[in-house]
Amino acid sequence: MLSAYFDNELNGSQKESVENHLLGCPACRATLELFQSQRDKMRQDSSVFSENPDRLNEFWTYVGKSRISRIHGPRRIAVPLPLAVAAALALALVSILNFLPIGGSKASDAPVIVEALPQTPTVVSFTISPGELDDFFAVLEGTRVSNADSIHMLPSEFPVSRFGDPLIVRSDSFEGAP
Amino acid sequence: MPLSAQDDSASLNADKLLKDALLFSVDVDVTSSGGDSQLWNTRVEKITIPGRAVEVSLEGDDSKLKVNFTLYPAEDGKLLLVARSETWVGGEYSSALSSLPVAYRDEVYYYPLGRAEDGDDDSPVEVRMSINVIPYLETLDDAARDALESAFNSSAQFDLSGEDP
Repeated sequence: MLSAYFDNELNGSQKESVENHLLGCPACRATLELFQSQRDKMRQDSSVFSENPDRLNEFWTYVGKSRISRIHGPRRIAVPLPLAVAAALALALVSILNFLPIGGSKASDAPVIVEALPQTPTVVSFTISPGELDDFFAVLEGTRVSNADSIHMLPSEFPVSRFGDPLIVRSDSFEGAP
Repeated sequence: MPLSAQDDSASLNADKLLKDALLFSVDVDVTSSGGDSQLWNTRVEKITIPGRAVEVSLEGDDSKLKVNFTLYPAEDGKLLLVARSETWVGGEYSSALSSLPVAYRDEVYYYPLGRAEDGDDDSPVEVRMSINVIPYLETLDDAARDALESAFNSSAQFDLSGEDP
């Protein structure tokens, strides 16, 4: 209807109806301004078409097809590109999440590694303070030669050196062990 | 209130502690490179229980070695020996954590500064710690064991309540 109004193809009552609508519709007014700017542009570029009749025919063919599609084609909903992309991403995300094992029913299908571990850990526990424990072992160690708490001085004539990372090994698995 | 209930919460069962006690012995040897000849040695003996660290500290002119050995209960009656070392050699600090599953009476070697390469005559001395773990009660002869168990029999418990008897 708006395109027909722009092309002055409407009768009196239809034209009046469209003009009444345009008074309260900024979108349609903007569309008319776009039509007008396109027409102005075409007039400015008429030399291009006059020198290239094939392009002029192609243009009018495009316009004709567009006009027919507006009249007979299905209604279309114009969606901004960023919004369309965001909607597509959201739909893809929802589809992916639907297949992930989230929630109780999905988690139960996953292997439970904990089941392979021992049922109960082996622990040693006493009700005793650190000082009391030290006193207890000091009594037991009283009859033994023990100087574990002291710092042992290395002889100065034998300087030590770092050969590499610390090594811990069972003696019977060690080649050259005494 | 029954006396036994109070004992369970505030006293130590010495008998159980003795059964878990371990004699942890460390022979520290300083040998020539390659371990051919022993130049110096010392012995550290400590009674401990699983989870309680035994510390061995050595100091030289330009070095300091501090090693904490801790035994933890493991499966099949074994123990996990964890060695945590801090060493300063020539001003350079290094720390490491090593572990090895061991059984009673296994002899384990720990080299806190690594091993010298064979045939490297120019290398300085090597430090080796030979570790041996034995249940403490098994180190006692029958007479000493009987005397100890009678002194710390199951009825004699440590009172840790802090109150005078």
